[in-house]
Amino acid sequence: MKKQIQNYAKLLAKVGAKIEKGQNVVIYANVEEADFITLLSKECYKAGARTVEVEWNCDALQRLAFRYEDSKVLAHVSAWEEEKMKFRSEQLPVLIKILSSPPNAMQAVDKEKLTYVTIAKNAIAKKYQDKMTNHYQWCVAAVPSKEWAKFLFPNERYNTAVQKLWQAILKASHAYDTNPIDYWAEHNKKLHARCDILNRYDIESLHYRAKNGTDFTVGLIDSCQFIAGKKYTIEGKGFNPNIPSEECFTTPHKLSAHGKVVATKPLVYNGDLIEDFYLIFEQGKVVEFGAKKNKELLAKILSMDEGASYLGEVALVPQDSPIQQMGLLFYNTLFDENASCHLALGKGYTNTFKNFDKLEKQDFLDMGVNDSSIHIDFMIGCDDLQITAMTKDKKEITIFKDGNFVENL
Amino acid sequence: MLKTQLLNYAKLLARVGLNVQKGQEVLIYTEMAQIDFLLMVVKECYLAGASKVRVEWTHQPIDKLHALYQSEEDLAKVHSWQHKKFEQQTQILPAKLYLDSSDPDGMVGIDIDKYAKARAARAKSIKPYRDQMENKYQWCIASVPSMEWATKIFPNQPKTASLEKKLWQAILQSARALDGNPIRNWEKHNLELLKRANFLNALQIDRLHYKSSNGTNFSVALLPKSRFMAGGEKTLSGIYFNPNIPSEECFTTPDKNSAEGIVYSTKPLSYRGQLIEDFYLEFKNGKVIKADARVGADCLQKMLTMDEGASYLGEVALVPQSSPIQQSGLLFYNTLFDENASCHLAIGRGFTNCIDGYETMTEEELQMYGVNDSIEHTDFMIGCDDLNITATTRTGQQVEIFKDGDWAFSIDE
Repeated sequence: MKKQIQNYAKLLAKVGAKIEKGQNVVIYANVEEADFITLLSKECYKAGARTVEVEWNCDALQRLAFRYEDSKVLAHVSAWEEEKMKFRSEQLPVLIKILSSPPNAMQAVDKEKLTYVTIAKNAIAKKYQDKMTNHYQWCVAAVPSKEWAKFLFPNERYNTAVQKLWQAILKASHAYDTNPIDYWAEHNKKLHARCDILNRYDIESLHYRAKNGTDFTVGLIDSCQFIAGKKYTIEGKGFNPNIPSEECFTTPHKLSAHGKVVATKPLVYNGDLIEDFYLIFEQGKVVEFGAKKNKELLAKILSMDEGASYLGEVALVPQDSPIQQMGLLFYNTLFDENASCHLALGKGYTNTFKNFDKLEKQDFLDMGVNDSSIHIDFMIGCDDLQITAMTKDKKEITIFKDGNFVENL
Repeated sequence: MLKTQLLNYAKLLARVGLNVQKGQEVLIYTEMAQIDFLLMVVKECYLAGASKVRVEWTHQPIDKLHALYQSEEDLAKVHSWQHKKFEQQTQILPAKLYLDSSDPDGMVGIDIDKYAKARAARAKSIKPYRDQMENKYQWCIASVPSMEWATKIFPNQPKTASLEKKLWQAILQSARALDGNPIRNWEKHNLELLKRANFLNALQIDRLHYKSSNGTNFSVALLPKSRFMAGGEKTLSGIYFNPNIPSEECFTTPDKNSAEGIVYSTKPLSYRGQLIEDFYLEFKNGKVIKADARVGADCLQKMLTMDEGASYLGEVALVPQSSPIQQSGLLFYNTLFDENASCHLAIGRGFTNCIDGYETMTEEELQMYGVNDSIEHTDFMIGCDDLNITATTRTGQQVEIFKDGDWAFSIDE
């Protein structure tokens, strides 16, 4: 598997982040993954990176900090930290984020404290993030940690569990193939063709129905498109922000969601699981919700800020996607969202607009794009999900039948 | 390794090494080798009263990639936000712990010239902050094992957990943290070291003469205000801390312009991940006028030309051959240990706090007085079993300090 892991690192540098000669790269990773990050750093340099910086995280250290430090100390953003955000928002390095934490990494942490700190830090970071949006290449991918692997395969020994999770990740990312880079070129082409068909329909709204109680409509925005796979920065640099990626997604109108959606997979948030939940929307806003497990946390997410109870993403993923077919729940959005149709609470994407490079933040808000400091996906795909599209000229077209795209898609 | 022994070591670093004060911030620099132990140390810092603990991680293989692929200019670059960060440190004065586990050969293969120049430029731009913080904060350098380092010390052995354990054992033994209560061990040890230093200071030494059969024939003068220090130190605000764990040396700052003669190294020197072996330095009027090495001669030349002060001495340290680290018979390829197993000298910056009354002197006054200044401070070992050191006191007496590699005077009475 060593060879495949090497290929995977190369895939992330060349296809995911698509580093160009002379670009600066920042990698976010957990300290336990130092060996893989060394491989990845090398691939970044070989791809032409001018500098590679790693921002290390350690969950266990975070837990200690949350146990022993005051909320004020934890939430404080030093002058130099803000200066760094400002510097990066100007330098626009390529960002690679390598996930490996288990879903329960922050479970033991005081949630009040965690929410307080998250909100306070986001409030400062948002200004700089907004400035950078759509101007830089980024890629999110994953590698196994012992804890995450053991969480998924509790009956295996650590080594075997890690091996199994590596296999699952490499398979989901198509890094097992002899030439992953060629595969991804082909995969991007297929996803783009599907988006082209959806975009030609001129869809006004989508209607979702399933036996579990989902009966829900959501309106799309006029100049907004379905996009998938490879994306482009405003400056025209292509990159694959998610590896793996199976979804076709777009940005809904903030005020349009109506009806009930029932989640089909647990939602992992800051290490906690929210299970068997539903949301009821009126005029775009969540007006009622319930959960068999952890309803309080769901309530907290929905009240993070004004935009947190509105939708920011609508994504279509067939049940026959390779990740869904593996039958493994990763307890990690990157994978689970690519195994299932989903929606996201919070901030709406703006790169789904045809001419997003010519629009300002206010234009997006005026057109109905939701704004928030959060963007949290939740899964609603299932084997009997039907989705009908209502086109602008009032035609009804079935696009999903029994959980999958209809044939021509 | 027993968990309680590691816990005791963690406590030793927090309480004796750093002596973390209530409400103080702590900054830990570490590699990835011993994350579980690091977490123990962090917890001990909190328990000692730290209000905030932050960890700065490095990974030597990635540092090596930087050195291989980045331009000298990028390697040397200190960004605006990094300046702000150092500036903030000069105000907050966090206690700093360095947990070293680096591979002595970890940087082999890089362009030494490029790397040394970049390091020098970088060190120069952050020097103002260092100068501003000097003697104002607690710091401690200590070590934890890594597999790469263990393999260097114990070659030809399989890379297993027991090899790592062997190095833990050696580290804890050297740090006087293996047996008994390490905090008590250090109270006793600090007291003994202090007695040695007091004895040396009472002699009013003018010049030290070194002689051994390997060819070392060398002398160096102390400044009238030079005083020997050992073990724990105090910050300007009076907080006692132990900058090195282990520490076996009595050391002081020599007169920059006084070294004469030739010294032969007795242990290899690991300089920024590269080894320099079997080398000598010849001094005249304090300056190195000739130097060569059997291995790593180019690296030695780089080191000596980092800046003006890099070819002058900044430290004179006395360590008996009977030190527990020397007695372990291990060569650690790591200054923290090897310097505490052997008499040594350091090229580069002199310790200002070894000068009586340094608190009231400016940086310029200290340099004028004869304390060397440099971005470098690198120890090299010259102790051996037949080393004799004689002191000429300010009243012209000759006193034997070291005989056959060991102290020539006793402190028990």
